[in-house]
Amino acid sequence: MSRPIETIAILGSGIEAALSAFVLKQRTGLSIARFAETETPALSPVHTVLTPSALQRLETAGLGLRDLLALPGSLPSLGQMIVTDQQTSCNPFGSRGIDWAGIGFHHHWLRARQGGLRLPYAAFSPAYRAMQENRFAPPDQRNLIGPLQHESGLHVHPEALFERLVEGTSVQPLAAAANAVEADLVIDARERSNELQISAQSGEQPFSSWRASTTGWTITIPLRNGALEYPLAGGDEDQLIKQPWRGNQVSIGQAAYSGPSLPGLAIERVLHELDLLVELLPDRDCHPAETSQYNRIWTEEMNELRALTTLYLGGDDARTSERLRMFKHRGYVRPLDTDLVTASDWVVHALALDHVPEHFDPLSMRLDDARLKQELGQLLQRINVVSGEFPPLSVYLQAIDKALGQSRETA
Amino acid sequence: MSVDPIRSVLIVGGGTAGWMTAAALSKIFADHDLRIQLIESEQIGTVGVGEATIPQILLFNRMLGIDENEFIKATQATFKLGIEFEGWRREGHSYLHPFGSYGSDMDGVMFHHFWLNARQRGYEVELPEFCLQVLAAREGRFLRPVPNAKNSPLGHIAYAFQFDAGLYANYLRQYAEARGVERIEGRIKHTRLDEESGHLASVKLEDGREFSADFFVDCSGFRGLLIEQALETGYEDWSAWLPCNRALAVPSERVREPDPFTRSTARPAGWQWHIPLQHRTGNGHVYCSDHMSDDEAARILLDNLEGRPLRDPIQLRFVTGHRRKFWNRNVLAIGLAAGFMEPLESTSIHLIQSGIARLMTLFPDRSFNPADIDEYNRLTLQEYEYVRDFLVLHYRQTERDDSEFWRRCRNLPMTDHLARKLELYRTNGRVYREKDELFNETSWLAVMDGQGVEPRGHHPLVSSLGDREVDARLEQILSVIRASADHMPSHADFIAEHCAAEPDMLSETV
Repeated sequence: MSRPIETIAILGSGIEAALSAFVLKQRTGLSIARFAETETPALSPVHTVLTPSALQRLETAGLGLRDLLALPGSLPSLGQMIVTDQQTSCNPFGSRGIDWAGIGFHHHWLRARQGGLRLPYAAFSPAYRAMQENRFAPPDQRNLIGPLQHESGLHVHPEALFERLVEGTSVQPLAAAANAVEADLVIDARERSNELQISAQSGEQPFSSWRASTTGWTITIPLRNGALEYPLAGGDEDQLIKQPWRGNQVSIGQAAYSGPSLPGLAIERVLHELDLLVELLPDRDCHPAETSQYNRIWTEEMNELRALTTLYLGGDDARTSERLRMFKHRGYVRPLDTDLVTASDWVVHALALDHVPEHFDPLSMRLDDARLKQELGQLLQRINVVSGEFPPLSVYLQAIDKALGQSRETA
Repeated sequence: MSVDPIRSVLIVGGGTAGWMTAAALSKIFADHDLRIQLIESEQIGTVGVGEATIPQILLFNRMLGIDENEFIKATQATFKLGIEFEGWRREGHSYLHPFGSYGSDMDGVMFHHFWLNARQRGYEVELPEFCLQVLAAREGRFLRPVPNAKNSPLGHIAYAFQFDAGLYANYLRQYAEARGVERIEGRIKHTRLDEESGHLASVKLEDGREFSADFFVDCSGFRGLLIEQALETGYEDWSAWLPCNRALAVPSERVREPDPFTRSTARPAGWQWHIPLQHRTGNGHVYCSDHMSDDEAARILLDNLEGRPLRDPIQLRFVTGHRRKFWNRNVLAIGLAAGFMEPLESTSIHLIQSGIARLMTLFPDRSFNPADIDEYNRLTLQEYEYVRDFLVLHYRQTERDDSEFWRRCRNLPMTDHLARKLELYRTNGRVYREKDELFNETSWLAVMDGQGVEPRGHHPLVSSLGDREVDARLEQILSVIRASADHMPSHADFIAEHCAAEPDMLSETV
C-alpha cells in the first residue's frame, strides 16, 4: 500500500516558485509551503508572454483568462513580429490554412509559391493582417472560417502576475536555508535574478517584436503601461541538469535548465513540468521507476526546446541541424515525442526565419493546379473577411475594460 | 515540385499487401502521371493469415473512400470489439483486450487509478466490467458509434473487422484496376540490377517479358523476391524474444452466430486463433517447433475446431523478425516481405497499412534521397519494436508452468522499454504510451491487468477524494456502462440489418 505525500515545500522567490505553489495547490489540494531566499521577488522579463497553450494550462489550474486580463498591464497578443536585416515577418500563434488531402498546408503553400504566389505562409492566418493593422479579436468558432481559427496569447506584467499568484494561494514567503526545509516533496524553483525594466515608449500592439542583433535578438513586449525589452542570446550558461528529479527533490524551471528560452516558452515549460509532476505525483517513497520516467520525458522535452531555441540563436545542436536539413529538403518534420514543441512549431518557426524547403510533398498534387488555386483563393477571401471584422486593438481594449468594470486609466 | 518525379511503380506480389499498396497508390495518385503495375501469379497462393484487424483499418478504408457496408458484404466480414485471451495467464482464465477504454478519466487522472484505489480496499468488481466493449463482446452485441452521443460510451465505440483476406485482396484489386492499375499475370524468373547505381532495374518473367520501373514495392511475401533475393538486404532474427516459428491455418464450417471478437487460446507450445466470419471460421495454430512436432500441432488444431474443417491445414514456416532495411535503394518491402511477427494482436494488416502511410509521407523522387530512406527505416523499425515488446508482454507475464514452452516464455528477455513499462505499472499503476506507439494506454492496461500484473499502489490524488466518493463514482460509471450495453443489438442482428453477405456468395467463397 502506498503512503501518500502530505506536504510540498517550494524554494524560490520568483514567478516560477509562485506559479509552482499556485498550480500544485490547485491541482493536488496538498499542504504547500513556499520558502523564498530573498524578500523581494526575483522577477524576469522572460515571464511576460503567455502563449495560447500556457493560457489553457493556467485555466486548468484555476487561473482563467478573465482574471489575467484584469491584471494591470495585460495586453492580448496574436504572436510575434520577427525583424531581421533581410525581412520582417509575422509569426502568429496557431495554425495556418487547411491540411487538404491529408497533407500539411505548408506543402500546398510551397507548391503555390513555386507557381508564383507571393504571400507568406503566415498570410493564411487571420492574425496576419490584424497584426499589421493593429487589430485584435479572440478566436471565434462561429465566424466564416469555423475551426481554422488563429489563437491568442497574452502579455502580462511579471509583477502583476506574481502578485496574483501569491494572492491566489495561502502561501506566505518564508526565509530559510534550502537544506533546512523538511517536506515529503521539495521543489527547487529558484531563478537567476534579472533586471526588470519598463521602457517608456511603446505603442499598444498585439504582438511582441523580435529584432535580430549582432549578439542575438532584442525582444520587445508591449504592455498597456509601457513595454519590456530584453536581450535574448545564447551563451555559456546553458546548463542542463541531467536528472531534475532525485529522491524527493525536483528542480523546476530555471533551476533545472537555465538556457535561453524563446519568449512564451519560459512560462509554458514550467507549466508543462508541473503537469508532468502532477501526472507522476509520487507517494512518500518516490519510486525510482517514476522519477526516472519524469527525468526521461523531461530530458526529451528540454532537448527539443533547446533545439528550437538554437534555430534562432545559432550554435551547435545536432537535433536542430537534422530537423532543418530534412525540412529544407522536402518540408518534412519527423513525428516528435514531445508536447512542448510540436512538429508544426518547427514548420512555423523555420518558415518565419525564411528556411523555405526545396521541394513540397508530391501528395499535394492530389489537388490539381486549378483546384489548389481555387481553394487558396476562397480560403484567403474568407480569412480576409474574418480579419477585416477584427476591431482596432484600442476598441477591443475599451470593451474589455468595460466588461471587467475598469477604466483604462485605472488599468 | 520534385525535380525528377517517379513515373512508374512496379508492385511485385498480389495478396493483401500488394493490393492494399496498389489501391492506396491509385487513389493518391489518381489523375497523375504515375504508371502503377502489379505482377502476380495465380499459381502462387496467398498466405492470408491476417484476417483480423485493429481499428486503424477504418482509416485506410476511409482514405480509399470505401463504403463500409459494401466492403463488409464483399469480404464476408464481421465486426470486432477486441481479442479474447484464453488460458494465457493460467489455464481456465480468460480476459479480453478491448478496443475501447475503461470507465472515464476524472480530474486529470486515468480511470483505472480509481478502480485500483477501491480494489486495494477490497472492492470486488473487476476492471473489465467498466468497459463497454468487454460487456458487448461477452454478450455478442454490436453497434457502431452513435452520432451526437459524445457524453455517452455509445458515442465512442471503437471497432475493427474480421474478414476473409483473400476476398479483401480481390475487392481491392477491383478497386485498383478501376483506377488504372495494370495487373500482369506471371511469375518472376530473374531480376536485373543497374550496374552503376546498384538499383533494381527490371524483373523478367518466366514467359520472357521484362518490366522496368523507377520504384519497386516488394510484396512477394516471406521470400522477399526483390528486397532479399535481388538486393541481399539481410534479416534481423527476433526468435530470442518470440520463439514461435510455425503456423498451421485451416478454415472450418461456421456452426453458430459469429462472435464480435477474435479468440486466442493458449496451447502447450503456442496458441490457437479463432476468427469468426460470416461464411466460415478462420483457425490457426502458432507454435514453436522446438517444443512440438508438426503432427502434434495439427492434431491439436483439428481437435479444437468448432466446426468441420473445410480443407487440410496449410503450414507456414517463419522466423520472427524483419529485414535489416525495409527500404533499400529503390525497393521498398511491404507486408511479409518486410518482416513477420505472429498475429497475436492482429497487427499484420496494420503493419502493411502503416508502411503505406509512411511511404506516402516520404514518397521519393528519382534521386532517392538517403535521408528519406533512412527516416522510413527508422520509423518502421521503431514501430516493429513497439509491437514486438507488446507481444512479448503476453508471453513473459504468464503464470503457466505446465510445459517446457511456457516455462521458457517466463524467462524471455525484455527490452528496457518493456521493463520500464512493467515497473511503472507495478509501482503505482502508471501506464505510458510513447508518442508513436501503436498500442495505447488502454491496450497496455488490458494486457497487464489480464496477465495478472498487480500494481502496489495508485495515483495519490485519488486518495484525497475519500473512499465513499470513489466508490460512488465507480458505481455511477458501472451503471452507465451497463445501461449502454443493454442498448446495443446483437452482433448477428446488426449484420443482418446492415451488411449481410448474399447467401449465394456464402457458398461460392467457402
